[in-house]
Amino acid sequence: METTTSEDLLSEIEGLKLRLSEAQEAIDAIKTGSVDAFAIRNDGKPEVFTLQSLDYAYRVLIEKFGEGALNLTRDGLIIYCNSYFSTLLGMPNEKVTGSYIFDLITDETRERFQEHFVLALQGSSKTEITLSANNKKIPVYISLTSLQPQLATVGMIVTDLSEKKHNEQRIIDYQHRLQIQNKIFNLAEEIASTGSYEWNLQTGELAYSDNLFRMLGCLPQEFVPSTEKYLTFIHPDDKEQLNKTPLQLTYRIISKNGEVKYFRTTEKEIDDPGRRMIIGTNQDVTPDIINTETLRKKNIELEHVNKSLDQFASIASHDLQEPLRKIRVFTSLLKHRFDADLSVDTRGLIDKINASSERMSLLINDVLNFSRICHAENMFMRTDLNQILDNTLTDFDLLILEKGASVRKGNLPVIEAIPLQINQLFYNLVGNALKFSKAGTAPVLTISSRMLPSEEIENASNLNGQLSYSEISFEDNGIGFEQQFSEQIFSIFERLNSQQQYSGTGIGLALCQKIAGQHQGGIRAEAQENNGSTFYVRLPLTQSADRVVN
Amino acid sequence: MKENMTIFIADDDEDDRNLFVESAKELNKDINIITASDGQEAMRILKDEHSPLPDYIFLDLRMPRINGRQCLAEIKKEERLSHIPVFIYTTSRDVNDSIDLGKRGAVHFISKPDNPTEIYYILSTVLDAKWDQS
Repeated sequence: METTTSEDLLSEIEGLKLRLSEAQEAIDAIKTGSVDAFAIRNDGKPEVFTLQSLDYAYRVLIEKFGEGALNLTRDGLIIYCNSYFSTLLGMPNEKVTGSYIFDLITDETRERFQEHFVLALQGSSKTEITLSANNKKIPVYISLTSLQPQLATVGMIVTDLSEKKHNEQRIIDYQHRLQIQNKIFNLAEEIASTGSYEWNLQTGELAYSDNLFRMLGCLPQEFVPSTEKYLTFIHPDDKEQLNKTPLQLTYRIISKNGEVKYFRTTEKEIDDPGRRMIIGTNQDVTPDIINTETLRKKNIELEHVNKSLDQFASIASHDLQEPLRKIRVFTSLLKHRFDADLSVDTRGLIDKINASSERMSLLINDVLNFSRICHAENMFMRTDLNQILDNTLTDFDLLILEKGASVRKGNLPVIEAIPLQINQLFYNLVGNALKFSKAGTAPVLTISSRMLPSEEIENASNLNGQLSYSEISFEDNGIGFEQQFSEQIFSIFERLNSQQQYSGTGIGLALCQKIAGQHQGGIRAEAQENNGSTFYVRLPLTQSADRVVN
Repeated sequence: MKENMTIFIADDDEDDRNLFVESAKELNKDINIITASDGQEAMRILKDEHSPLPDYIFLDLRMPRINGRQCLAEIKKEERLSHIPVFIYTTSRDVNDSIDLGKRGAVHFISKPDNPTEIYYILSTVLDAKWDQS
């Protein structure tokens, strides 16, 4: 059996006394509230036990505090944190408590925290760091305060800077955007030859944009803007104008380098409470003014030319026709009065003179008709195309009979048109069909119409998509032509066949195209060499109301 | 055709005047023809109370000083002359001219023909017809 000596017992009593006194101290500390928690090392891992005590009210306050509040040991162990802080990190409170604060700080800001934490152990310190938890980075402002000598810990108050940082970033973004907008604005002013100004009506302060200075021939912000100074740039003859307010006017300025420019000023008064001001733009409209002036002069010239053309048409109709008519009158007199005296050769020559003057006369008439169509101010009226066609065919009665031609007519629509012009159009097309017939073949002319489907109207660049069109086709079995000439034939004086073979002036189809155009319509041709041709005339059913007479 | 008929022609073109007179004489050798070589002379003769009143007046359109259109207007204003049928005798083949002059009181618009025999036929038709002025 083991014996216990009195020395052993005495030392054991001493040990127990010491532990008792320690326990007593702890109990006293808990009673006085100077201990919040115990950290007990358990298998090398610290475990913290908190105590509820008299200062419960303060704890509730801290708990409901709108900022993070922590209590850290000298090692940085979190022995307390309020729910605001754990919520901020997005972690359960019990997991935050017992963690080391260093583990919750980003690598970039940990060193800085360390420095301030060391400082705080002696007193207090403040800084910004970034917390890191659950892959989330939270910028915070921290205030560290040593709680010594009462407690061997450091108190830490954490202010979330996320929103502040976010706002700061937004301000930076806005500033950046504003800079870009300003650049765009300046560029736009330069491109548009525009300068702007702001005139504060309360302070009288006037500000010009850089480009306004440039437009005045100055360097940006070269002088302090003022109304008086601006007036010095105004052309002496235009100073009067500027007395009128508020403004939208055009006047001349003389820039610093003596250049005369036209400015157009547009002003707007802004009357916000506490901010009455005038904002205005000055546009350099010199090129516009010059262009308008050039255009005006060109228009006058054009009017002159048009008048000359009209005069020419008139001259062509009378003065040119007059001597021609005389040639014909006198050659026919010659032939009739001296018939018996004339040799066959002489008569042949007289016939040649007659034929040539006849042709000249035709040419003059056609040119005249063409120019009349171009200058037509004729009004449109409801026109039965069947009737026009019948009239046209009557004109060709003799030729139809002579050539043994047959004409097949379909039903044509009633449209708003200039009857005389349509008459001319039909006359030329029927005339061509009969003229360009194949030798030895009786001409067959088929005239029909159809409504043009809307997709065909859209595909035709020369038609007005707002209107309904009828297409009237003139199909013949004549000599035709190669399809490659189908556009060329509508050019004035363009002929595909020799004058000897087929007479004509080369104006007929050009006139047809003009007439169709005058009616907002079109004409096209399809043909094969030696195998007939078809002319398609597309005419709208209606014209704009102001051009139609009843 | 009326006997002792008087016709009046104003034309600045001498050839045309002569051809016209020749054709008229051929139609009726007793016909009385008064000629004027421009509008001014035409109006002086027509307004002169001593000169015989014509049965028909022919006016060229383009004449120096006073043109045919102005003559027509003056004739229609003169009480003594306004009832006389006026024919426009011109080179123009302009339909608009024809319509316009019809409105101003011309009874007919004749384009000068290319063949002198046509003048004869035109005159024979014109001078035989009854041209109602109402």
